[in-house]
Amino acid sequence: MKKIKLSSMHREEVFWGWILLLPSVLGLSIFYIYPFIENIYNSFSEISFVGDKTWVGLENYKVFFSDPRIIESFIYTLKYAFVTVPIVLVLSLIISASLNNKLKGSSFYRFVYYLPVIAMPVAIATVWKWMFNYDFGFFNYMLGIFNIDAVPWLRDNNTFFISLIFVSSWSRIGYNVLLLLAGLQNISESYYEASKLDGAGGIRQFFSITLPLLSPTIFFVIIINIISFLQVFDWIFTLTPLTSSVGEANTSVITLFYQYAFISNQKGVASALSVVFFFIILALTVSQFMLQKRWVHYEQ
Amino acid sequence: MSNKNKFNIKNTSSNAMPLYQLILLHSLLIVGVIVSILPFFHLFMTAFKTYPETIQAPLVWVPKTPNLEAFKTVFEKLPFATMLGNSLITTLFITVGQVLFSAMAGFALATLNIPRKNIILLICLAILMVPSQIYLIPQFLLIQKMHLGNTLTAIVLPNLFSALGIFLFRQAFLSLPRSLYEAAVLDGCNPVMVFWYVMLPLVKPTVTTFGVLASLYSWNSLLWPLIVNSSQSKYTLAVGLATLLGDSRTEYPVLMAGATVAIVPMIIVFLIFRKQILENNSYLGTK
Repeated sequence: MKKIKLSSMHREEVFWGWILLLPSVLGLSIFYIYPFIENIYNSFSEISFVGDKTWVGLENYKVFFSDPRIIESFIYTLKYAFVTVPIVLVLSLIISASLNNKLKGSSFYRFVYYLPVIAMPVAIATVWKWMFNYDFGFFNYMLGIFNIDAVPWLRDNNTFFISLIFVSSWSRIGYNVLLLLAGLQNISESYYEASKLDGAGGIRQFFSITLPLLSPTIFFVIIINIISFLQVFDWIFTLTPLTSSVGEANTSVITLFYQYAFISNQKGVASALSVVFFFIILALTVSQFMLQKRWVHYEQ
Repeated sequence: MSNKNKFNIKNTSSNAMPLYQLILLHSLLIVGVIVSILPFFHLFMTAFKTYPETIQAPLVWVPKTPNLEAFKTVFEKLPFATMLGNSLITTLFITVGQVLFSAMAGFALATLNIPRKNIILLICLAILMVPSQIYLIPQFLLIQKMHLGNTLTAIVLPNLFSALGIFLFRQAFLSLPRSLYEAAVLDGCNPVMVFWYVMLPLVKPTVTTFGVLASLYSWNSLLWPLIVNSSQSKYTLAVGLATLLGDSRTEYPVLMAGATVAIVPMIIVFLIFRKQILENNSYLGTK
């Protein structure tokens, strides 16, 4: 008797469970799982303006070797990520380690450092454009005070790269500080007390205790930063016209993807681009996971 | 004895930082504060400047006579009020949808005994790993096929569902004992009622944190609303600002008046929920 009741209760649980899961399962299938599969098919197709597809085999992938912009955009994006991630990581580490000292005003600092994270990139780009202006912008005004020559921040291919790194680091550090602080607060006080008894100073403690014990968080931070910086789009799109000479010299994978997909309307090539990009991100993530054994220290 | 010892050590360690070190730390952090705030400062100041003041040779820090001209222009030049409305509506729907659907699924995955539910969880994690551009073209074609191009529904529909949300809510519901659920069921509730009346109120911190996160994501997002809608009356603020920014004739005060309108609502949301956002670590793992 009891058993029958239990199993009917369980059947009811399964039924209602699927009702609760239904919207998400349907939505994710239609807008994420099916598109993922279709995207692979698209990369072997030519797609007309109205969405009709014709199979073209490897044609879209052949474009990789005929359009030098594609290879260049991959190199550019990798270079950008590999310069920006260490800068952001080191600055975030310094800030979060400082904040972890139970300083007065710590919550004020955290609030202010997080403001850039919530600011809409397009909106804040308007002020960056003014600050970076060659003739009357803030940065050249400050340089002028110290009698340093004006820098063509957004007008020159190379200084644009520097400006881009500056702006994207600015918008990202607060988020990383928060993640690292959470990791730092999980490190038990007793390690520091013990090392203090052994006579270790602040710097020594940082390198022998903080860094090793924080390494799982650092690992996580590196992975998500690489993935998100590789997808740079908003800042380039807003700081320069994509078709200007500076824009062309600073083409990232996603800005090129955008141009192929929605400007020149070669959606097949764009799909192939995104498939290759996906495998590069996958390979980078997997290799990070393989490398982590060498430096990430998990507390037992 | 050992307790007393511990207390002493702790006491010395918290007072251990010498004054010069404390000053050094604070000045370092204050430099960071200045760098963080400076663009906001210039943004708000410039929005109230006249155009000549923005291109003057010795930089004008604070406008001589603050004026609202730029705000007037931006609301006249573009249907900016409509865009503000579009941003508010889409953000509202996306936030409510993501929180509700994710919480429902997260609860089912965490608390209920459903056969093979881990497959769904694995798929969610896989979706999170894939760069979002992969979905863009098929989503775009799908929206066209549904004849939803150039509607607000097009902006909202694919964004009602969140793999990240499901994952975060699952983690939150896992921390609640299943006995709570079982007790309510024995009292005659069905699982949906238990979810709504008993369990959801207990994960309020996740609802707020993830809700703010979802609204932030929706409010600030550029690429999807940019490609899916082509008429100005269906633009969101981000898209409207991007077109203003792309037009070289736009004067700085006008640009920044628009940007101010776009940034201030999120700062207010952040001010209201700052405690939850800055102290709840449950969203470790967002992009």
